[in-house]
Amino acid sequence: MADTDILVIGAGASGAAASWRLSEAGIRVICLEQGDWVKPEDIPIDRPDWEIARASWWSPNPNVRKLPADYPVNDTDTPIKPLMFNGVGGSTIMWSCFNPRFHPGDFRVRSIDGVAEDWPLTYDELAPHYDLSDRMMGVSGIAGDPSVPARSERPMPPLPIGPGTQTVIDAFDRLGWHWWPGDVARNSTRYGERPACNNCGACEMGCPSGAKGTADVAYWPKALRQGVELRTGARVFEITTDKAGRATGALYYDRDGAVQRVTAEAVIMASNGIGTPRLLLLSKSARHPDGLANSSGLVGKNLMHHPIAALSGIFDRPFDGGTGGAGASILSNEFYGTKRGHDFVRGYMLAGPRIHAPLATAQGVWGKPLPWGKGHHAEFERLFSRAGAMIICCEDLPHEANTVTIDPALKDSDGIPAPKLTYTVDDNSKRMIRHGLDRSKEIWEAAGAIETIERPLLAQAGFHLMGTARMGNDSKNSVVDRWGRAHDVPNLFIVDGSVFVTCGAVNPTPTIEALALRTADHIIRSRR
Amino acid sequence: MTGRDLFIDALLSTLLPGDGDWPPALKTCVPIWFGERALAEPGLGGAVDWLRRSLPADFATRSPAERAGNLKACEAADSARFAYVVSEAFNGYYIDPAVLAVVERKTGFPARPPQPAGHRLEPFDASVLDGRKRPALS
Repeated sequence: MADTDILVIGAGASGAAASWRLSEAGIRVICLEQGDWVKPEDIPIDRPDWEIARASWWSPNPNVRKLPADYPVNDTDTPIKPLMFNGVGGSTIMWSCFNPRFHPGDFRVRSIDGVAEDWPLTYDELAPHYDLSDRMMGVSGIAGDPSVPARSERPMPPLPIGPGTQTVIDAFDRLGWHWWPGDVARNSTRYGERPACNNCGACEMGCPSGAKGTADVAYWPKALRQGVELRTGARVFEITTDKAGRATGALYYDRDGAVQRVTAEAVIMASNGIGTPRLLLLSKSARHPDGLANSSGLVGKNLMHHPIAALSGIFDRPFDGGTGGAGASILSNEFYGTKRGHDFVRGYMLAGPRIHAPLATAQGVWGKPLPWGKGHHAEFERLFSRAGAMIICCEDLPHEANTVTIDPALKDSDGIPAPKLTYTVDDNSKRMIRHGLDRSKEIWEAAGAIETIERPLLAQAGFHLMGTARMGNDSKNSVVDRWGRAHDVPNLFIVDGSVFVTCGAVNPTPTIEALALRTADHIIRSRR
Repeated sequence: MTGRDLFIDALLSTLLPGDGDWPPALKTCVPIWFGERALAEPGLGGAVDWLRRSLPADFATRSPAERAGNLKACEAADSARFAYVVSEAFNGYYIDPAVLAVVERKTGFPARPPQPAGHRLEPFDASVLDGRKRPALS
């Protein structure tokens, strides 16, 4: 008898959601997580040097952070650097908690625009799982956005809109462009056992109060009460298989460096769009000589990010006062999806405005490093608290040349080969970015900004890791089927962003969670 | 007894001189911060050594304008290494309580970390959506 019914690799958003859902149905689950729990006191958000911590040892970039649980990523061949967190809750620990859903057309890109591929499922199929994810994470927002399908009321009312955001709203209205309060996984009111947010504005550092919806507080307490065994400090290096090629479990290093084995009737990969292809490629065997589930050759290919640009608007008066949450308080779908007359296909979401703290201002976050010497303080006063940033989140298209591969030399602290990213921003995205910067300039001018500063591509913005084990009906051009089951390995499932066929122009976490919950429901039905 | 490093003092006072309410770097925690970082981070220590070698021997006793000119020449020679030094000086400066107090006086941005106090904001006013909502699903 196997140690467990289901083995889940990774305790982030997707692994947590799947573990909770499966255990709710009485299925035995063991989850392996290479990191640890993040305690409130671990989050350096109440220290005088919090801005330094955010840029160094508590950075979202594992190559900068270099905590014991992190593995290095060779990012020399990509302009977008990978961001993630390794621990219980995964990257939701450091996410900005913006929670928009895919649009229906995002699942039908091939049919609509003749590029990429269609998903083997529809928005309507996923909608109930989006709703469940919203309830679990706790989402503040308001239904009624005319640019997206009708949906149920959000679990909590929208978060406060600060004065800077109101300035931007007025500009959108003057231009006649769409805007709507963003769905945000942050509590505008008390939600269950979790308190209301106090608008500290540094969501990306983690949330010591639990007001932010992170997988460690939204799913894991319930999953553990239902009997899930969560093993932390467990760094998986191989998915094991039998002679027939079926998954049998995993081998991992425990926190003492000893090799451990866990056996399971089925395995769920939930290690994000880099970690999952890394493990699949490392799990070679006679039946799977090119890596597990890789007969299509597509494991690790079609890596998608959302190329993100920003346009800073500078005012000659106070803009926001440096208050309010991170992430986007409003979004605009005015340029979402393919539009007639554009010189690119698909589109982008506008979100914002973002504001920044003193040290980030000095270090050049608005797009222009502050000078040293005489004039430094005058420039600081000109920018700080008088600027906002409009974020342009572009839909990426899948390309097989954009990859996660195994680096031939780089290894993590346990000697496990590290991943390497190879990624190029394509011409379609470059044209999209140009369009987005130009439209953002119109917004800032309508808002009364006296100057704008372009940041055409944010390097430290690779949180969205998608496409590297994509979903499809045809085993020749996809890795998993419409339920997340590997075509080659019938008891292996993938539930993280790797399975994305296309990536929309929105933050992926709610879609990742919805897919994980849907796959879990499928497994539950299959076992009955 | 450890004496002040006059070279470091001259470097920091040139990078971040005082200006009105803004204290000069030498009157803040920057010298201590910077010195400790230079010892702990080989990259910064190496960059400082590079500056020592590159700048005139009497750099510390030159006028502010002359020192600025000397540093600009170093910046032109190796902008990345110079930027690292500047970045570390900024790091120390903008965590100093006296500096953050000036920020608060001038902008209202509170001189404290984000937590535990957070920020007070007015609740969302749904009337901003009047006329643009479609019905929600029941």
